[in-house]
Amino acid sequence: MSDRDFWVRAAQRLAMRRNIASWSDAFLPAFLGLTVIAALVLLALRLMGLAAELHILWITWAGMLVAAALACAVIAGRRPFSLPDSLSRLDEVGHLHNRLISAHAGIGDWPPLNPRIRDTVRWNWPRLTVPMLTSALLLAAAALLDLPKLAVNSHPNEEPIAWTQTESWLQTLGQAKILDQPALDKLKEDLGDLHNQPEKDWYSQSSLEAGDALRQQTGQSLRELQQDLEKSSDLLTQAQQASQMSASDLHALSASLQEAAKALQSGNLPANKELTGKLRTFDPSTLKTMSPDQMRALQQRLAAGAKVCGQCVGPNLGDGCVAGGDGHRSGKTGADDKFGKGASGIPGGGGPADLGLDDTSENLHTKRMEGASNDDPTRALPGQVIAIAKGKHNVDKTTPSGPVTAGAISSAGQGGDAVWRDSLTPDERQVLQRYFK
Amino acid sequence: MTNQYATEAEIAGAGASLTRLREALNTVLFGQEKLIDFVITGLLARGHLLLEGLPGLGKTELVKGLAQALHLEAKRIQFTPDLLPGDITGNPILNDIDGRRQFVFQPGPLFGNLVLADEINRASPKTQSALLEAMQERRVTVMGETYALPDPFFVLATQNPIELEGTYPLPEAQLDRFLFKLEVPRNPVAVLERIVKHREIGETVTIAPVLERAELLAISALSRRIYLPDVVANYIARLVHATHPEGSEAAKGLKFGASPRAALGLSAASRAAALLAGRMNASVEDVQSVAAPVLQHRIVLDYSARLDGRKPSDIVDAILREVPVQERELPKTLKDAKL
Repeated sequence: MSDRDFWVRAAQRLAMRRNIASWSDAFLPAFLGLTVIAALVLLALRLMGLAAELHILWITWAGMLVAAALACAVIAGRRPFSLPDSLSRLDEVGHLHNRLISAHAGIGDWPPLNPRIRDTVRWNWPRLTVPMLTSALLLAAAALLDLPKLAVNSHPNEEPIAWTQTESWLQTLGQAKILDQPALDKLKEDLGDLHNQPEKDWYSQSSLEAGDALRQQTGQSLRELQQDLEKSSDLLTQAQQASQMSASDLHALSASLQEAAKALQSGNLPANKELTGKLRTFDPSTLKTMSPDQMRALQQRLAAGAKVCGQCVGPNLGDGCVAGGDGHRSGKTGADDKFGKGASGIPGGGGPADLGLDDTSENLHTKRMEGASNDDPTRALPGQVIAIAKGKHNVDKTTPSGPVTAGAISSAGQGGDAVWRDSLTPDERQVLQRYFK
Repeated sequence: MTNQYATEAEIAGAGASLTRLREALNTVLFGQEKLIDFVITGLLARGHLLLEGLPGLGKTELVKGLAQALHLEAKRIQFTPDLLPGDITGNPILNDIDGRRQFVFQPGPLFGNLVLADEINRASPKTQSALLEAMQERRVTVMGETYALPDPFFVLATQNPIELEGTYPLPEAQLDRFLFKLEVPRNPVAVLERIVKHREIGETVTIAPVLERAELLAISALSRRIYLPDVVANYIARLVHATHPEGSEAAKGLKFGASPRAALGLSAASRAAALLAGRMNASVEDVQSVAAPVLQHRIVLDYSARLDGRKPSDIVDAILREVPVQERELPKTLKDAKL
């Protein structure tokens, strides 16, 4: 390798290294800054439970890193470290009296190669690695840190009240085993569909309307079921005297029971098939042979079912299993009590608000003004006028009025008075202060 | 046809002559090799020199020896407070020529190749100022007539740093005309012993000429053809800029910095130093070697710096330490390797 080749290669290597270093000088702070932002956003997303949005974060972060890298390359490339710059650097380090840069310009020979000053710089690894490691640690911490449960996650959104109520009904009905199981499952499935929406959509208009509709339908169906069960129960009460009935009455009763069983089975919420099956078995002959105890047991079961339905839906829809009871506020009843008594509570029902007007008016006399006096000055309020007196101001006529310039005589005096010059300029005041100090 | 830049052969030829000159001057002044190198450098750069030192250190001997070695016409002016400008530039004298009386210019001692202005700070500012045109333009104007000074023309002035009573410090404009201000150091014991052995009081040292006038002019022209790399020119510019109070931390105690003439002086002196060293290009090291004599008399210290006891040479040293050779610093992700 010739001397020239050796020095040119060494200079090229140095130039490349310096240009990369210039780029990294510009890029590393940007990299660290972007990573800090990404880590903060990652933390925020995790706290908000938006893990599904993380891919957007990573894509954005990577894109910004690429843009920053390109911008830094442009900035560093505006004034690159050239081959003459590198030769000059090698000259300086090797104390070569600028022979390299001169030889590059065609003046004089290239100095003999010197492997000792081939690499005049080395990487400052702490400078390079600290931002990278810091970034990696920040990202790892943001991704893996066990976060304290924020309000968003630790207290999940409260379900709309209609759902809670419907769910409560289904639970009660399930325990009472009144409903046909597929119908109960269908209701649960409908409610589950509402639950499965993203939490942010729970209180959307459509979701609330759907929940209310489900509750209304279920409540209506329960009311119908209650009526059918009560009817069936009444029929069974009559059936307990079947032994004393005539054949025609028995036929009529049997037909009614069949009809009731049919109604129980054909409603929106069909009753338990076992119950309806038993009712269907009541023909006139069975009615005669069946013991009163068996009938009573069945009747009590139907009555209990009707009671459960009644408890769920309450006297009015909305006063059911969850809320129930009268409101806390009792409306003011008018003379004919036509507005009724408002019942409130979480379900939000219970009648109109208390906007009734009273018959008797109340005059508060707010326009009449009355004075308040205080003769005791020791108890006077701040700003209160205690007394007014007439008098004259004692004005010193020797003191000139109007603006007074600094250094001027502030008092003209009257023969024999001591005249003081008490207005000093800042400079005079400083001089006096220094003097007396 | 001459090359734009000095060739190796030209430099080698000049180097031999300069070595002879250096050796001849070393026989005149013992133990002042560095001072002699600076004097030769100043001559090659066609600059005027101001020598400052205590009496008896050989300043006048050096100038006399230089005149002999270069075979140049040397003149000596002893500056005194009553010296008038006409005493050094020359005066028109009324002469009777062919029965007609007319003024004839009688050249003064300034008309020589090598002018020794001894104790220049003893003359009045008026007389000192008479040197301005001579030093800068190398010509003299008397009564509206301009007379060119001989080529080469060098002023070697001396001044005594003590006995300042009755002296007139040189004004900044005058100082700026001197390429170098050189301090003549005190001799060490060994050199004193050599002087005692080889010199007698009143004895005049005689040396044979080693360079002719034409040869000196050729070598001086050659020094101007020494290659000055861009990086060195940039370094000179940054160095001169750094002598101004706003240019560097080291110059905070200065009232005024160096002028562009100082930058030109640095350039010429570093080229001459490179030629003296037998190199084809001026280098940063050459600039650093001549920076103190070129800059120290061109910077004006402020009152606080004087009170602090700072000297111009200290400030130049501090500037040299502060100004990096490379204009661009290393990126922070790189560091110097230990070689």
